[in-house]
Amino acid sequence: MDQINIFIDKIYNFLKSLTLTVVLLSLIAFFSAIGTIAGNVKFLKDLGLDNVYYSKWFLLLIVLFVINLVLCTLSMIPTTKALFSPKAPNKIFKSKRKDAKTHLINLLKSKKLYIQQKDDLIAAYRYPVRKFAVYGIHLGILIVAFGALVGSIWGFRGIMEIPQNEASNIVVTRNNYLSLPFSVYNKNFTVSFYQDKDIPSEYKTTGYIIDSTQKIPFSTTVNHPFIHKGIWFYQASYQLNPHDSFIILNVNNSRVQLYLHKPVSIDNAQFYLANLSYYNSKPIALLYVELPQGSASGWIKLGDSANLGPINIIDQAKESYITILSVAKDPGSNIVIVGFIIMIASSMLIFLRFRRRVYKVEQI
Amino acid sequence: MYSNILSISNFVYIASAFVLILSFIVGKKSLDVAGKSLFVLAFFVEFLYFTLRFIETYQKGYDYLPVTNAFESFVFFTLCLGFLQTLMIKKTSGFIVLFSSIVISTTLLALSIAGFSQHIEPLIPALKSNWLVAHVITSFLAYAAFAINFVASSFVLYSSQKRIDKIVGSIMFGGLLSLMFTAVIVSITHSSPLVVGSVFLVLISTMLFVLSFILKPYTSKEWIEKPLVFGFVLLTIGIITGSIWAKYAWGGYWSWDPKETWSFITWIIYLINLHFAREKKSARFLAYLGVIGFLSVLITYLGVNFVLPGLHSYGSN
Repeated sequence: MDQINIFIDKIYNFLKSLTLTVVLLSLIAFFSAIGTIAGNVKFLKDLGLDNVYYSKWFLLLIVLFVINLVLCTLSMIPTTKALFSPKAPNKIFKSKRKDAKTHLINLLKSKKLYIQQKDDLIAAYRYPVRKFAVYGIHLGILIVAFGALVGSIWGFRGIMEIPQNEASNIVVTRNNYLSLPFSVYNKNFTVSFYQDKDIPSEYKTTGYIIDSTQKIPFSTTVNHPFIHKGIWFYQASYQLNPHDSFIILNVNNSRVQLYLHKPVSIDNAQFYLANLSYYNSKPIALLYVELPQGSASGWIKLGDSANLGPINIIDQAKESYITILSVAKDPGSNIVIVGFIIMIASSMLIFLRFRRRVYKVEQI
Repeated sequence: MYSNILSISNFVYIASAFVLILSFIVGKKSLDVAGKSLFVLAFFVEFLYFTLRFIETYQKGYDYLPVTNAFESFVFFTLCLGFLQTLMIKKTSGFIVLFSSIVISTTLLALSIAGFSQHIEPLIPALKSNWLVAHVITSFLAYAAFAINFVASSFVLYSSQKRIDKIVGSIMFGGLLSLMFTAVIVSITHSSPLVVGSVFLVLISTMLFVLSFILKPYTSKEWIEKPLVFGFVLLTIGIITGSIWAKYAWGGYWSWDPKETWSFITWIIYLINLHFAREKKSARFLAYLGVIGFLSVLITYLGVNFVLPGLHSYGSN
């Protein structure tokens, strides 16, 4: 029986030890680091280390760390308790006054100290709350971990691709897909630019949610998600829709529609539209032309005449975008925020300077 | 537009370094005070530059803090380091101030030859967020605090009596100094930075190693621990504000993007360091952790932006 107890004690002591904390955190840090380069190193990638963060044993490390954190925090409680239940004085207060005790208490109170009386001992603490900082920070970390767990079980994160003038309810997640109980209609996606610059100022999708019979309008830009029924939608990215983006060429005086990524032959010439973009806020097209006498390629501005064989001018361009939205549902979100607030508030306490004096009053 | 003010500030930082070196050789208190005063002056000149750039940005119609591209971020890092060092200039050993000013002028010199664009441009959509200011200021103050922790750690190792410590300390300081000299030589002669850098590293580290034997061991933990605690709290807040921002921009608090991951690794290293400091480990032990921690800061700050692709890559433009 005793041996079992000793064994359990040993395990408990190991599980709460700082040594285990350091080992676990070092392992977590090490594999996290490997994960950031594994995508570029073949044998690491073959081991699946580029996605190490989602693996079972990485989760196991975190679970072990949480257990370690809980036990180590609990094991600190007796020390803190002892700190606030003074047994022996570390200072003698000598006074001739009869009311020496009350006098000392008033003196300490005037210094805004927290005071405790026990038998003939008077304990005074400056910033006693400082000693709870570590509990706060550890608790905050646990709450964040719990919130993340809730989010990973009951939440999801994924991507939605919606062409212009179409609706979708399919969200592609990291290794699966799911359908939302409502759909999102992309009415329009726009890229705006700063005046006279090639720097984009805004990516914006406007449209509406189709929920049973309701139509709820929305618009979203980067950093400004919109929320419907607890699901967040973010402007993440965009791409040209090849089925609906084209330019109109004027070839030998006849108008030809040239779709993105779809080569067209006219007489002896082959045309290929490789890309559409903006320059100085005006559409430009990357065009390849192949003629019997040779080939040419280049970016052409709308309305410019081009020296590409038989083409005289590009009359018109139509760009249609597929908006790419990040979609997330995170029921643990508010829990995480609470953890964050507790962590920040408690870590601020570290800057306070704790002091403890236990007086014994002696009359002389 | 005001880049000559930045150059003046850098010149004063270098001057403060020279005066501090002189104060070590001569051993005069007045020179120590003069060197530190020059450091404070240099900081205020740099702060003036930063303020003017902020005003200029604002006048162009962009209302953001100038911390958003590679050039501005390096300047802001040196500004934060100057600020923290100025705050505690009175109590800090001259040697730590000396190397803080070397870190700053090395960064500014390297910056002037790296050829990053100094133009004031409008913000790209990803950076237009109210969280930018809180996230960047806390993260950079943390980096600056860790830089001081690194300098103090290197000094503990450099002045230690163990040969291996001396070698590590000499290489750390030698690396820093050779970066500075390489920046100067490469900007004048346009020779290969790798060759010049390696030659300087070997030469300067060897020289420093020889010189280290005249030093008395410095075993005070004060300048390891103070910046460690401060930096750790600020890094924690920096990561938290960053992840709240991520929640509004990318769809979740955490995406294991390389920058996030490395900031997490850095956080873990300093967390371990902090707990060992509480366990009353020796200055030497904490110093080694300080050096490792700062290497991780460098990877987080530089490596991720310039080498590993990810969501933070706009910092490399």
